[in-house]
Amino acid sequence: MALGPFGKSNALSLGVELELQLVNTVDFDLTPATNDLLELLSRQPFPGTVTPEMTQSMIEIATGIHTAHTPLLAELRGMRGMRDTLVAACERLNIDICGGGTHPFQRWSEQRVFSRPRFKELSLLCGYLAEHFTVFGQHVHVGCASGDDALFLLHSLNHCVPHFIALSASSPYSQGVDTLFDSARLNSVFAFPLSGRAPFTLSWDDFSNVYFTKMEATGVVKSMKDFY
Amino acid sequence: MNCFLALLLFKCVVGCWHLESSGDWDQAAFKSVYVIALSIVAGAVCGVMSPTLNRLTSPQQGSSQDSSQSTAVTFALCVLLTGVAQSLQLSPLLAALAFGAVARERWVMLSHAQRNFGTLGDVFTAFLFVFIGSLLSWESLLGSLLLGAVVLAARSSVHVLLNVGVARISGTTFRKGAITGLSLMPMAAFALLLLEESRRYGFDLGRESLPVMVGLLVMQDVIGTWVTQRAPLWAGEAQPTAASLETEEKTLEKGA
Repeated sequence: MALGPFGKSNALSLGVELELQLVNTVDFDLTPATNDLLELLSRQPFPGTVTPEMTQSMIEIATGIHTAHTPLLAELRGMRGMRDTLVAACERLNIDICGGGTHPFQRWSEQRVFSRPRFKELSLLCGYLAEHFTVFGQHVHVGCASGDDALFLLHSLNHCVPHFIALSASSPYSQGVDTLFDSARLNSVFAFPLSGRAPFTLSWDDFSNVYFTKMEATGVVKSMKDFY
Repeated sequence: MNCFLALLLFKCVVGCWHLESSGDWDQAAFKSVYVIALSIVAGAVCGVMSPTLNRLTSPQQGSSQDSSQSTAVTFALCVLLTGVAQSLQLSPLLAALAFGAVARERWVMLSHAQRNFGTLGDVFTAFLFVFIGSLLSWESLLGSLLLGAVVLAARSSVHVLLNVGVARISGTTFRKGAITGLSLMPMAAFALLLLEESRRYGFDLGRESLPVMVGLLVMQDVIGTWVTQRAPLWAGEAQPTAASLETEEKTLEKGA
């Protein structure tokens, strides 16, 4: 089955997501508190979007969709309300919240996959890679008017990937050791079978009807979300 | 901290009992104040020494070898402390608790896998329950089972009700509050060890109460352990078991 029509957006519309760590206040190791935090946050209006992530020590906050840089920046700067609400909820649960690409000394085997069908499916498909995916990133989503535009932009930005990695590097420690990397986070993502560079094609139809269909037949792909 | 306070209270009771039964202030003070003070001091001193010892014996900061050596040093110190406390007729339990509290304040952290002495701790726990079993008077077991069930139900009801009552205030759900209350179903090993320790110091209440409590203790040891182990699973707060993973896989396959 082909991928289907491309989900169109306004050209160059922007949205930002930020994944955050939930840690205990005793030794600052990751703590599986996403369920409690989301339950607590659901009791009152939250100024933004907060969603669970792969394992139960992660949450993701996100801005809305913007068609210009200035209002996006204004929302990011105005995230103080979101931050205050999050911090207050964490204080009540006696946990802390922090950023960074990886947690320096958490152990992947102690992480628990969040109970959501997609995460559970991924966990059954990829085994321990799911728990290894307890890494924290900042995603900037860029909207495109068509699939062809999206592929063109993707390949045009390919040569900037090292720059993006350098700009966002914040994970020198992983699993309790100094990795000697500045961005060890990426190695957890690279372990997934469909991570890395996209195949070179500038046609959405080619990507959808040839590449995606072929990968789907292997059983490891169901949607675009399975590509990293 | 709960154990620590309970132990302090228990030692004070032992002191009062001595004073009441013998009128001997010296003996009463020895049985409570001396034991409490010296046990806490011994534990606290070891707790303060622990980070320094770890630093002195550490081969390389931050390495995995460093982590396992620190754990070995901390455990060795703990074993030494309880041995010395036992031979000085102090309270090994109180000394170990004081050690743990001070070491934690001094940021001596063990990984989850190393807490409770790891695999060695599991083996010790099995021996502990064999030891406890040997203390019980099994003749009175059947007679005291009903009493045990009533006391256990009453205590658990109080735990559940209180935890449900404060669940929303503390930021969680009523369901999780109820499960937290259930998971506090007391396990008897600690209480039995206390009674046994006091019996060695001549506190006969331990000897007299054991036959009466046998039903309660057995129920706590069997049901309490099972409930405490299952409660985090019911709340979704534990690693899934192999069986639950298999069920999940079947459910997802059916859905697909």
